Amino acid sequence: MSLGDLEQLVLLALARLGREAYGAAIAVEIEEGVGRAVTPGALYTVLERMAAKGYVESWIGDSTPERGGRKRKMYRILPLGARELSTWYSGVSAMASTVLDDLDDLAREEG
Amino acid sequence: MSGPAWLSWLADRLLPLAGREFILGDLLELHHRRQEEKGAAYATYCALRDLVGSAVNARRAPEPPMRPKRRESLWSGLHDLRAASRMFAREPGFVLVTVLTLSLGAGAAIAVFSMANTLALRPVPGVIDPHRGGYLTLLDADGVSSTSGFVDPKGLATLDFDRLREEATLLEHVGSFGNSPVNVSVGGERPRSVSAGSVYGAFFEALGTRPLEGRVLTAADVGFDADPLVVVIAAELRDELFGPGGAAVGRTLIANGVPVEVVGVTPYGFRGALRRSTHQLWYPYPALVELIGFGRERLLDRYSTMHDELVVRPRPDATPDAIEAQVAGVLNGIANEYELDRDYLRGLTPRLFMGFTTGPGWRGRAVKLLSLLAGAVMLVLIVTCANAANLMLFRNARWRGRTAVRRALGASTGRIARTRLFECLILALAACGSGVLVAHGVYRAFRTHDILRVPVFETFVFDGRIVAFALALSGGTTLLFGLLPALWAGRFSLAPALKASGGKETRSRARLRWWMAAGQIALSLTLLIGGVLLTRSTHNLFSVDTGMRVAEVGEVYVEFPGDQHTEASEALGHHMLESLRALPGVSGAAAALYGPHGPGMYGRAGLPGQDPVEAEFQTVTAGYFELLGVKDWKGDPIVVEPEEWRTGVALLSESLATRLFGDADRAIGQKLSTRMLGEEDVQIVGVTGALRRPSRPDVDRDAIFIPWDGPIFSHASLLYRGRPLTDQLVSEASAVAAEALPLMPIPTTGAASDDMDAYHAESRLLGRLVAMLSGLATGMAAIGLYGVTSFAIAGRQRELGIRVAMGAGRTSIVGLVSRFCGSIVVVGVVSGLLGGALFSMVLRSRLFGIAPFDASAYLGTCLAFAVVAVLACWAPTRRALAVDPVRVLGAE
Repeated sequence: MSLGDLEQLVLLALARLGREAYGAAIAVEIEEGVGRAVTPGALYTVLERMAAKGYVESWIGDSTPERGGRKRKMYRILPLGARELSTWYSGVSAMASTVLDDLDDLAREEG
Repeated sequence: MSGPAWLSWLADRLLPLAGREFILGDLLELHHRRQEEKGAAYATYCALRDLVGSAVNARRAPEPPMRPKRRESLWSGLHDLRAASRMFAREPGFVLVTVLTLSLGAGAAIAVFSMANTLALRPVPGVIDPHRGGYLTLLDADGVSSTSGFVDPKGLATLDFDRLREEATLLEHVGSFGNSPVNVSVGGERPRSVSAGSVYGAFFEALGTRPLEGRVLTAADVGFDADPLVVVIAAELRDELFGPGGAAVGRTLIANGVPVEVVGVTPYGFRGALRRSTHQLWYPYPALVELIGFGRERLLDRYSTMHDELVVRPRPDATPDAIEAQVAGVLNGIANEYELDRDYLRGLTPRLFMGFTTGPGWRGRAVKLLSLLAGAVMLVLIVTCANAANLMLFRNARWRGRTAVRRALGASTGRIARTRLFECLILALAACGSGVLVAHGVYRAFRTHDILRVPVFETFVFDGRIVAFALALSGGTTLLFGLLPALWAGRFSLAPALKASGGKETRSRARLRWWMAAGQIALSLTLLIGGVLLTRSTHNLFSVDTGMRVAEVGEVYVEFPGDQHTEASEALGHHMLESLRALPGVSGAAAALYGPHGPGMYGRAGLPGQDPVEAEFQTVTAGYFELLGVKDWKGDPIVVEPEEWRTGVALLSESLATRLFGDADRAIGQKLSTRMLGEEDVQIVGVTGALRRPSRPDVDRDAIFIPWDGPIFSHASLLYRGRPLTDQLVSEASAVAAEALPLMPIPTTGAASDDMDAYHAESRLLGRLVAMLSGLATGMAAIGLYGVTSFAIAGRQRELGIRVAMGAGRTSIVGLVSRFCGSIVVVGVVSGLLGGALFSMVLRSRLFGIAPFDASAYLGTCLAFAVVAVLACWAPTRRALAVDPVRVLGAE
């Protein structure tokens, strides 16, 4: 599996946000989705790395007053990225399907 | 400061350029969203966390190259060099002003510090291990050196000297020297006057001087039981007398008519133990009997000792304190044997000045003079460096946009710094080279034109360490202020940098530049006030009314054969005076024993039965007073008829007459007892007005004029008035004396006012140098003010455009610029006045005829500075007035 954990989360967020994905939106999506705070600096590092691999593409968007007039850098997931995400998700689902019930029991015992 | 504003400020400083715009945008948006949802505190916390996290992440992650890295090679270095050199073509004005500024500062520093080195620090030429020996001087209760002296019980008798040599065991060698020129000839040639000195004790051993040829005079050669008719000559004199490199040892010279044998030749450059010595011949002290005509008893007498200075070489393990204590003990022992001078001898304090660099008499003055000059040069250097720094900052601000573009296009910080390094190196090298040229020009001016009239400048040399210091300072300034901004290049934001490329700058840098300009003005004004005070003081010194009109008066100093008054020499003197009067263009001639400003020979004068007072005796011919336009105490010209001017009469100066009789009126016709060479009663036939000497312009001369009955001594000063005094007339007067005295050296001739120059050389030197340095600093300050104002105007083009568009008139724009310049000038001038007041206090002891806080000097200097400030702000004001609102606002 070639995706890192942050890459998986970012790709998921990109897939959810569609053409409205950019730094702040992705950060909010991940934070609200899995409760993980990601700094914009780390986010862009991951996005640039995935752009170099051909998983995502970017373009310059428009600016908003909340951003102090600064433009947004928009991202979109590419087919290669989508395939990687899908492959990863299939693998994880297959592995999880056989142990999900056991995991629930274990969690209850511990609780 | 609002949240987003501080966030932007921090992000500008913490985040790398690449991606900063987008990261900052996200940070601001997230902050905004969290502030609305969860409050300001949480938003601030998250913003700081995200910002720091992003910054740390950026440091860890390698920056993606924006273009493939090229391999660094020699060609890239050459490319940088070429790019840097193109700067000269683009900014010739900047390069010229920067190089000129730095080179003038460095040149002035090299010249002045080299002079200081020459005057006070370098060892005397021809001395071996100069710091192992030194000068031993005896100071009396007033702190005056009393090694030698006449008449009064001052000085060390020769026998005392012998005892000192014997008992001061901490001193390995002790020697002394005196100063008595001799006339020297070889093989029947016309004699030449040679600066010469008598030596006693282990003079050459103390100096460590080794002979170029033959031997030097040792302690055994100069004793009273040795052959006195042996001499050592300088290599330069050897070349003159016997041809370059000619054999001199064993040859015979005629010195003052007496044959003497040359036993050795000193190395080239050696001129004696003092820096100001010009000796070319040295003879044993006892030879003064044969060569000068002193009696042997006089040489041994306490009251006419001829040892000017003592030179010593201590034993290696002896400390100066121990030596001084031992010498004091020896003096005490000597004092116990002399009842008459016991207290005087006990009051002498020995003082050892280690190092054969500058004699004790000149050392203190030299140190003070040079400290002042060094201080003035340091001020100029500070102004220079501030100016250069200002220029570099000015340029960097102009090039900020260009640098940011290069950075954005992928140039690394190192690459930008390297290009800037080449630019700075080229500038620094050009400035350093020009600085050396400037210093060399000053050096040549000193040497060839003698503009400062200081004779020691013939040995003025550059010192490598001084040149290196000045060059390092100017080069360092260039590199520091040129390179620092390049190193900051990595922190530039593209957009703000491009916006600022038109000339805007940060507030902190603008403030720095403002203060530097004000500081330059303050330091320049400080120097200028000092320069004005010193220049006016020097002018006052040269304008002192000496009571004698010496302008257009020529002087021929002649020496007669023998040392006794003879009828033949008296006739010769009168013959020369007649010949001088007969020269075309000469309106009168007279003779005196010494030059018009004296000092004459010191003796005593007083009323019969009263204690005599010390007075200066001048023997003169009858026409002396008319020739020099001397007036009496009432202001009427003094006319003395030759037949009335005979032995037994005298004229007093007003000061002496008042001192003796309480009133000049009462002195006429009175009798006075005098003691000069012998005792004589004279009748006072006249009183002159106030007389002063150039060397003591603040004190009236206590002079007594007595008739000149022929040359009492072996010399005389022949004075003549030319109308005008031309060079041709001076040479004709010299020829008259040379013809009348064929067996004597060619007489020294010149203008009677020459001694003014000699006496005031130091004041003139200091005044001119400080004036030159202050002029230089003022020029720099003007450039600094011009630069700051120009830059400020360039940065406020938009504001000026809006003002003009809103209807602001020319007066309003001029007022705007004036307020900016005026604030700098006012702060600079007020600080400069305070600095000038401090500087004046330092100079106080050197000022003559002008108070340290002379209002006119301060006011005049401020007015002059105001004119300079107006000129400096003229061009920027014109540019401000020429701002076209349509063009400026349209360009945005």
